[in-house]
Amino acid sequence: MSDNARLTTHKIFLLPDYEKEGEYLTKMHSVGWKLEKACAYSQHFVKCEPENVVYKLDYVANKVDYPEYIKMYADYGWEHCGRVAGFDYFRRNADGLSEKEMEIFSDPQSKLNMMKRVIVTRMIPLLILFILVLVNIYLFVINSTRFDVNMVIFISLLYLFVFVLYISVFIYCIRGFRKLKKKYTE
Amino acid sequence: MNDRLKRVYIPMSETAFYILFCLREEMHGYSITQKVKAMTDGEVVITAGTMYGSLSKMEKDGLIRFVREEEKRKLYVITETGEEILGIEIARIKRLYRNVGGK
Repeated sequence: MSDNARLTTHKIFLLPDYEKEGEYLTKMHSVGWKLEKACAYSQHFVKCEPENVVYKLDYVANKVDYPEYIKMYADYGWEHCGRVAGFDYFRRNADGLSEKEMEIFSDPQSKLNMMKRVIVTRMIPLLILFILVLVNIYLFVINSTRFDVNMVIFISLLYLFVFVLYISVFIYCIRGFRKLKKKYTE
Repeated sequence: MNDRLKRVYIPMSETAFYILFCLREEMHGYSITQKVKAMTDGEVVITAGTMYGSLSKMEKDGLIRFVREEEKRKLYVITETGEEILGIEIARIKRLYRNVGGK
């Protein structure tokens, strides 16, 4: 019998999926997999007794008082259990807690504020990167006569792939944020 | 008095009101939540993320100021500007109360 059985999953949670990620981690803990380390595109678990533990993600840009921030969450009973790309992961045992105590935000305005922070400090830089990619494609196209034909086809396909990937991710994110906004405001 | 602050804070959310009201004495985030719970018979619960966000925003807006740190807990107290905003809000609530038949 191994006490330290481990499991890694590779779920991709994009920018508007922070609530879904919390729900996923909560579900994993309820079937005996405790989060050991969260990464950008993978989740590492260690075997534990199934427990009713709730996970939440917070995002605070430009945190200047990080130890005090963690301490405040600890005062409320939240254990800090990860940090990925500016998102902080917290968990706490949910036995006997009220609905309100299982949340990290107690009013819709603070949920909206978190969403806005994610959009401004993470989504907008992605957009800028995308514009740079477009500029790159443009430069390639106007210079393409200077390259070998096979090379041009290969690079064009590569760019097309990146382009489609980016657009898909953007559409997914915009729809996700819209859904969240609707949920928070109705 | 800054018009932008009036626009943002009046009328005030219950969360913001109780935080400002409590900070007439110096306190840290969790102790504010405890006090508000007691004051409202457990009806108003301000959670961690909301408290952190509200304190940061109010500090930035100059309604409260950081006083000192105690075991990594930041203690805040209301500023003159904060008192002024709180006064306007209290007057507004008293008027509401009078108009619904209170004394």
